[in-house]
Amino acid sequence: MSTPSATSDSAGRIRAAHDGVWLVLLVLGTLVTLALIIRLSGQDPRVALDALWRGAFGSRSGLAATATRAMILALYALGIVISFRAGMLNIGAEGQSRVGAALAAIVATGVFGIWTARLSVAGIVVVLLAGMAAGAFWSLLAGWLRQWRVVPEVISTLMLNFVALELVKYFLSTPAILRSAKSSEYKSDYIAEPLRLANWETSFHPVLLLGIAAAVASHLFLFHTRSGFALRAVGLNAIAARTCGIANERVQLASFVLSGALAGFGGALGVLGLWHLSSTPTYADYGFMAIAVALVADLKPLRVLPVAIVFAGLEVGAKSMQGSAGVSYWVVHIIEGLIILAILVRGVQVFEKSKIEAQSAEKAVA
Amino acid sequence: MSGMDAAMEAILRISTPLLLAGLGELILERAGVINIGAEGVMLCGAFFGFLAGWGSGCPWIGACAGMIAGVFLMLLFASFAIRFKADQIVTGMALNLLALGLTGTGNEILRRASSIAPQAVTFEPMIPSLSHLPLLGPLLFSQTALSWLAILLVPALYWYFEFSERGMELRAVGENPVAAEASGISVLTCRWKACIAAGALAGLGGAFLTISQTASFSDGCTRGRGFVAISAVVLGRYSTGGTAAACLFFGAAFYARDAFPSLNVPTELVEMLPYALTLVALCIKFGRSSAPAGLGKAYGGS
Repeated sequence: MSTPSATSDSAGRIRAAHDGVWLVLLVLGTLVTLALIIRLSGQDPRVALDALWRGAFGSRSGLAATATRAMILALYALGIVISFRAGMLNIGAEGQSRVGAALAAIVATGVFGIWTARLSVAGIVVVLLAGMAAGAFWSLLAGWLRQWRVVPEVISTLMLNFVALELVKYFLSTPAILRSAKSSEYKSDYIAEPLRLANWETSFHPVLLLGIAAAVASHLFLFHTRSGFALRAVGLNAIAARTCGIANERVQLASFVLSGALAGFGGALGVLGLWHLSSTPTYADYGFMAIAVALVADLKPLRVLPVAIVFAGLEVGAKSMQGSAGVSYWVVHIIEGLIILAILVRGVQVFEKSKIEAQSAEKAVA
Repeated sequence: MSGMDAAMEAILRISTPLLLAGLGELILERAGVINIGAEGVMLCGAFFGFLAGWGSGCPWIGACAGMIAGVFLMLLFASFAIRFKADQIVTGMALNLLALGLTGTGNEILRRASSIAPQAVTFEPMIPSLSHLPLLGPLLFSQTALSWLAILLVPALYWYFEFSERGMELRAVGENPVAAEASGISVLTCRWKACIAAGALAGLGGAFLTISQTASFSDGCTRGRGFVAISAVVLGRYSTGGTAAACLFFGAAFYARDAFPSLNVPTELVEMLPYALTLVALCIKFGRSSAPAGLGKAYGGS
């Protein structure tokens, strides 16, 4: 991980050039693989890829759909960047965002909905804060388990993902909590009109800028503040950081809160601006894809948004590709899996550090 | 067949894929490798097992194909997580996505190629004539071959871990790879072998779903069973008996949900049970820590 000061000297420039070449190779490799899979499944790659491109970026509505999904994906991924930078393998964005979206929907519909709708702009803020609080709380559960019982956060966040999935499903099946009386499916009521951020599917909305703002804020926080430095120090070498007087436990808990809040924020924003309701969660969704986004962005906040746009475009484009060119939507998941593996070959610096740390700890014991 | 017998028979049937995948994951985790891609391995086993079973008309060929598909996916996992020392969690996630994409695309092609929904030939109960015996008759003899295999695997694995030299070596690799290597055990070879065994078992567990239970494949039909298997290993405190008991318990819970709708227990809470219980179990500490000390760490200088 090159530090910001290192980018000014020549070593940093070489590193940046390598990153560029690597990214171009990755994109080319992805396209070639995609074309191969399409050819293997008996379709014309040129027609299919053309359909994919036009579906994601070729029309106003396609562009809006891609941008909206990219922003939600970027918010989740920024949370993952922050927790991975702190050395915490928090893979719970899926669950955290679901819980955030569910609480946002509870606050924005039914009895609470009447109250929040009356507040208009303040009501929107209340709903967003509710989502953030719920996401942060869900993430903090894993943090507490880690501090209190040394439960590895990888296991606890993975398990909490599924607990959240089922919990939200339970909310959606219980009329007293979230289930709509009007729908036969597991869906909540639509949120009140004044709370809806204009329909992003058809027009751009200034709220989209929130994604950019969040990315810039995360960058400034990580690389230009004292607490951001402490967080990265803990992630790079927790033992050394403690020796330097950084309170490890507090920093780690803070990283859980921040990443959970970002995931919850993304979920709540989805309810206000995209879905306008809460519905049955599905398995293998954006929370997992966001991990791929964070890794491809090399855990750099400013790179998260462009990467998220590519991933969101792939997702949106694949849906229209299935319709017009007859290529299965599922190929997207093959591509995502391959991208993650490609990233792993190159090596993710954070893991390298923790590996070295584990080895030196092993040696110290032996 | 009385109600009780039918219940026992069904619980064992529901638990079989969990047992197979869970015991496979146990072998892997005792060797110090964690694979959260078990779900993907099962899914691949289910699809390719179904494909071969349907094409050949023989469930045994289907079972073999499921195992081979699982092994292939785990060889991919091992190349990254063991050979390149990549992070095991992220590699496992990539495996899940890859499997979801591969089986989904394959199923789409299959659907387009044939006008009628393909049906695989399924396993028959082992010895139906004996299934009328009182007490254990229905429980044991109306099961298919794969359930038998899953049951027999439990004592076999127990013996392997506790009494065989190879099993102890594998445990040493998981607990303290540096010491194991110093005593002449090849850590990497041992972990590669554990990956192959886990892939075969999880693939077979997945194949059980399509060639012994439903006879058809639908997208994402493993429905999180791979993750339940991982929970079972943690809840079973990384022991053979504990893992098997956890798998049977989850099987019983799923059975009770389907069999007694009058109980009015929300399905979601039953589905949540494995994960919630695992979290609770992780909080309750008694005796020594049960997880292998070297779990999840790559071995070897980079």
